[in-house]
Amino acid sequence: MSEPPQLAKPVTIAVRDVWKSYDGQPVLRGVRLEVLAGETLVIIGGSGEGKSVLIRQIIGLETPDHGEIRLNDSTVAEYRRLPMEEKPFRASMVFQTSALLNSLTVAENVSLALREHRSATREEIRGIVRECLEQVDLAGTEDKMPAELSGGMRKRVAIARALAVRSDLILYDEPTAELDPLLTEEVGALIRRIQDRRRPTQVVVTHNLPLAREIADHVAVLRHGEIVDYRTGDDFFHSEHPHTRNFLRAARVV
Amino acid sequence: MAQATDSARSSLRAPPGVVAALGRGTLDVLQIVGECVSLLAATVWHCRSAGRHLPKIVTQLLLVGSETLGIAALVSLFVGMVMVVQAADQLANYTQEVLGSLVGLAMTKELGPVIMGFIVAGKSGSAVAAEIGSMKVYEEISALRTMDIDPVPFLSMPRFLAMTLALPMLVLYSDVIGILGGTLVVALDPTISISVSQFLDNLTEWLNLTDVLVGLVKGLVFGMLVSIVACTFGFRTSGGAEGVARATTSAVVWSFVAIIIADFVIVRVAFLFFPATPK
Ligand SMILES: Nc1ncnc2c1ncn2[C@@H]1O[C@H](COP(=O)(O)OP(=O)(O)OP(=O)(O)O)[C@@H](O)[C@H]1O
Ligand SMILES: [Mg+2]
Repeated sequence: MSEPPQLAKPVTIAVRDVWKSYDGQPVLRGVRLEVLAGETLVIIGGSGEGKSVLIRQIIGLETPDHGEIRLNDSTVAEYRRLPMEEKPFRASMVFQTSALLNSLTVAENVSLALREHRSATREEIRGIVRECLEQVDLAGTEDKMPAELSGGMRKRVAIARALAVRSDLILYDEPTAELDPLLTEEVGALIRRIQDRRRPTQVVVTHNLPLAREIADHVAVLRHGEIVDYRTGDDFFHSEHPHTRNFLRAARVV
Repeated sequence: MAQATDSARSSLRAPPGVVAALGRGTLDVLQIVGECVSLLAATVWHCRSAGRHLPKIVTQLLLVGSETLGIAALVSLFVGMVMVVQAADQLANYTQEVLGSLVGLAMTKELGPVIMGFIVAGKSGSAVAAEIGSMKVYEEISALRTMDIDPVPFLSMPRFLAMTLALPMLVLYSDVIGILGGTLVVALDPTISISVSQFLDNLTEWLNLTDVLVGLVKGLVFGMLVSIVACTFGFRTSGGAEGVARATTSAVVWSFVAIIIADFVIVRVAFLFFPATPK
C-alpha cells in the first residue's frame, strides 16, 4: 500500500518508588516498574486501585509526592517542560473517557496537535488524518462530531489522535471500558497492529484479562498501591501469585 | 465551680462550626481571587499570540454577539422607557425639562455598562464556565496538556479578548437603544409635558464624551472580569456534571459581585481625574 512506516523511537520507562496520596490517603505506595523500549506492558488492577493515578504520573499530568519516573534519560517533569519541537520523542495518552474535544469534528480532533503546533502543511495534515482514520477503521468519518459516534468509535478516534503525531510512547487508560466483547477484541487487535507496525512503547491499563492475553508482552499487577506481580504475557496466566490467581479465577480465564 | 465558668465561657463563644465555616469560606474566597488574578496575568501575557488565534477570537466574538444582542436590545429599551416613566412622575411638580440629561447620563454612565455586564455574565459567562468546566471533568483539558497545548492561549485568551471587545460595543448599543426607549415614552406618553426635541436637546447639552467614555471603560473592565471569572470557575471544576452546574452558577454570581465592586471603584477613580463639572 503506502511506504513502510518509520519505526518509533525507542522509549523506556522507569518508575522508581513512586508514592502519591490524596487528602492524606495514600493511593500509590512505592510503585516500581520498568517498561522496555517497544514493548506493550499491561497494568492490571481492580477498580480504584490507582491505575489511572499511576498512568497520570507517567504522562506527567500529576507529579508524584515521592520517587521519580524517567522516560529514557530525563524525568517526566523535564520531558514535559520541553517545548514540543525540542522533545526527543512523542508521548500520547488515550483517556478512559476518550477526551475528544466535543466542539471539534473527528478530523479536527485527530489533527489538533499538528495544527496547533504548525508541524505540517494543510495538505500533509489531510493525508495524515486520512491515513490515521484508515488505521483505526474509521475512514470517511472526518466530518462527524464526537457526539455522533459510539463509545467504541470515540475510543478509536482517540487512538487515531495519538497516531497522528507519530507517538513513540502511547499510554492507554482502560481502552476497552464500556465496550462489548466484540469491540474489545477489535481494539485489542488495533493495539496489536500498532505494535507490529511501528513498535512504539505502549502501556495499557485495564482489568480486562482477555485483552491482556491478546496484547501483553509483560503484565504488572497493581494492588494496594504496589506492583505485586510482574511476568511475561504468557507466564502471567500461569502465575502462582495468590492475588493474581484470585483475579484470574474470578475472571474465569483459567 | 470550674464547670460553671467553663459553661459561661463557652456560651460566649460562637458555635465552633460557624467559626470554622467562616474561616474556610474566607480562605476559599481568597483562593479563588488568587486563581482569577493569576489566570488574568497568564491570559494577558498570551494576548501576544492573538494574531495566530484570530479565527478563534472572531468565532467567540460572534458567539457573544449572537447570545446577547436580542436580549440586550429588549432590556435596554425597557430600562430607558421605565426610567422616563419613573422620573417624569417624580419631576411632575418640578420640571420635566431635565429628563433628557437624566436618561442620557444614567444610561451611558451606569445602567448601560452594568446591565450589559450582567447580561454577558448570565449568557456568555455561564456558557463559557459550563463549556470549560465540562472539558475539565471529561479530561479534555488534560488531553490538551498531554498534547502540549496550553489551555490558556487555546481556551481562555480568545474568550477573554472576545468578551473584552464585545462589552464596550454592547454598552454603546445599549446606550442608543435605552435612549431610544426613553424618547419613545416622551413621544407617546400624554402625561409628559416636554417634546421629543426638548428631551433630545437637553440630553445632548449635558452628555459629553467623557461620560460615554467612562461607560465604555466600564464595559471593557467588566468584559475582562466576566471572562476571567468564567474561565477560572471552568478550570477549577471538579465532580462530574454536578460540578459543572455548580461552576456555572458560581461564575455568574461572582461576576455580578465583581461588576458591582468594579463599578464603584471605577466611578471613584473617575471622579479623581474628572471632578464633577459645575454647569
Ligand atoms: N484527583 C484526585 N483527588 C482525590 N482522590 C483521587 C484523585 N484521583 C484519584 N483519587 C483516588 O485514588 C484512588 C484510585 O483512583 P483511580 O482512578 O486511579 O482508580 P482506577 O484503578 O483507575 O480505577 P477504575 O478501574 O475505576 O478506573 C481512588 O480511591 C480515587 O478516589
Ligand atoms: Mg481508572
